[in-house]
Amino acid sequence: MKCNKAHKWISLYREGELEAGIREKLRKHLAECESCNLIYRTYIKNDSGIAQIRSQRPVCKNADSITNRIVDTVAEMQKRPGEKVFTARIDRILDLTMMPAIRRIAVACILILAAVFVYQQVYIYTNTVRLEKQLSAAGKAGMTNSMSDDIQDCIKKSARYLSGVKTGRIKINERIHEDISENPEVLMQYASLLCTHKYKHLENSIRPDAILIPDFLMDHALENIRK
Amino acid sequence: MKGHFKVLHPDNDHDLIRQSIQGDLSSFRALVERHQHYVYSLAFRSVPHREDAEDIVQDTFIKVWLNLRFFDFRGKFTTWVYRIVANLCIDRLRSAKRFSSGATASEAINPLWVTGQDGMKNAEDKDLAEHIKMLADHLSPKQRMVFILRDLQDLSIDEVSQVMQISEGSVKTNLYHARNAIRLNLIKAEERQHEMQ
Repeated sequence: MKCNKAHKWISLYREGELEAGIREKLRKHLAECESCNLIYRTYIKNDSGIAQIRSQRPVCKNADSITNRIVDTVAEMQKRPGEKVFTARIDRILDLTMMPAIRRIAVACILILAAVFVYQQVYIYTNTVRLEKQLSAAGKAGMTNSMSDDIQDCIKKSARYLSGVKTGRIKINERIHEDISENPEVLMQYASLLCTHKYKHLENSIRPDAILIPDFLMDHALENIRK
Repeated sequence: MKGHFKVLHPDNDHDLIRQSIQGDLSSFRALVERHQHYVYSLAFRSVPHREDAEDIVQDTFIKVWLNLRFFDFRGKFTTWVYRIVANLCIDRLRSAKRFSSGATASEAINPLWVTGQDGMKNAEDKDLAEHIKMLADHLSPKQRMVFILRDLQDLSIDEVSQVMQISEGSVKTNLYHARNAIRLNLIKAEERQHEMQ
């Protein structure tokens, strides 16, 4: 046994906490190595100091008043059972099932995840607003202010979907991704696909004069329906 | 079984716990009175102020009351309570460290901790004991708690492992670091003393 390994085990040697094999190796090492034996003797010497501390049994002079305070507090809590159960659950989650270090790491992880979630939501929201503006701009030529609520709703949903694509939340083909990112008109076309999908059951009733929608978008929609 | 764990009969605890869960305050009072001494003993040895130790006793039993319904009757109540005390002490030590100005813990605040009272056989042992107490204050909260539980409260490695919720190997490692740090600092202190003479 080497000295650095022996150092680690010496403090446990005299308590019988070591496995038999390690104990025997250490016993032989201590018989041969003077410096390790010296360390062992200092532990033995310190034991008398520790035994002295152990022999001092701290006595709580205010034991009775503390007991009364505890029981009074508990009696007070009994009057508010809902609060008791709630705090008990929180306590259990925070204090009893975890060690302090683990608890701190867990809280840090939760905060980081919450921050990421909030950031993502804000990012998606701002992107959605921007894309909605782009969509409106792209369709401005053909659309009128009286565009139906359904179409507006569809465009909003498309924008939300597209913002998901842009933020990577929704995975699509890379080429389409580039097109969508660069060209607002493609955004509009893509939106039309979604409109088409939603209104497929209205195939026969869609007419340019029935719904106010840009021509290019309508063409695209009808083309998709025919496919 | 070592230390306080052998003194108290677990079956009696379980009866008191069951009655306390039903809302019987006199049973809960009996439970507090039964375990208050060793809760105080651990808190007193862990935190710098007597008042802190008393606060910890109070907080511990409030937590015990709040969580009694979650107590697993397969385990020992003493281990469960020790775990609560140890966590509260570690939290208190960490926050004390955060706000301390550098001077530690036990200096002149906790009279029993600094001076001791009885059981001192001779001056040399008394000096050594006081040195060890002061050096224990400089350990990390975790090492300090392992040292106190094992060496001062006399719990077995297995019990310390259950209380601290760490492996036995980790207990041994923390114990080694704690004892070694105390030993090395004692040697340094002795050397300084020799130089001064």
